[in-house]
Amino acid sequence: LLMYRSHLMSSLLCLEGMMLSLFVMASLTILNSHFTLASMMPIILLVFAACEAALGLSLLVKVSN
Amino acid sequence: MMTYIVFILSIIFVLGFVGFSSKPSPIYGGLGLIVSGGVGCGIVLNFGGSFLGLMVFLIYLGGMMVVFGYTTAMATEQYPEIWVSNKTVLGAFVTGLLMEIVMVYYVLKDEEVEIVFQFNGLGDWVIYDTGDSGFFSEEAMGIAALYSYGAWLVIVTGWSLLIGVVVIMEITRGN
Repeated sequence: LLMYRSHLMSSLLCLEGMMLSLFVMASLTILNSHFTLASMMPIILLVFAACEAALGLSLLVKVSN
Repeated sequence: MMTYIVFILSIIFVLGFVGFSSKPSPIYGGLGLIVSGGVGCGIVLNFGGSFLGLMVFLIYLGGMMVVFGYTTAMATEQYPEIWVSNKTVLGAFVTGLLMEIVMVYYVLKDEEVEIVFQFNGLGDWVIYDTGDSGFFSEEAMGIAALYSYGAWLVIVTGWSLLIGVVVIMEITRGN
């Protein structure tokens, strides 16, 4: 509410930061508990985060033109 | 010092996050994200996850930050503002920095920090617990690329990425 600045791009960057922190936390938890079969889950999470970042960027390009 | 390397890396991780979430101009936010990504890769590597950490470095930083840099250079052209040129940005950054310093001080003073979870001492997250159960020495990372059990997941991910590419091309074509 009081964090609104004047760039859509910085909100996309914060979304990428959230995905990165989720990835690191999931990787550490899975590695620490030796849950081997779920080790592909952070990779798939990263893939979908890249996909939604690309979609957000294309929407940003269309909005700002 | 080497036994506290994960602690130091996690402090730099949170500082990088504070650096781009106080929303300076997007180029400097991308710089904070690159720092946080590199240090996060180091944290995962110190827990023994070599494939996952290097995948962060290669695909996330190498691929997506390049795309972000190009789009930022194309879509925003004005006077960029760094962290010290605007009172709001500097205030948010200093607030985050102070909160991190307070939390680090509480962790170092008495060995137990309880905010939402309960961190019992510095040795719970810093030094990895080597369970070391298994005869083939690949542990949890060699089965990260399991394409026999996760074949359906690979198919669904590939198909959704293809649909995403088609959607993006339809969006940027639009007339």
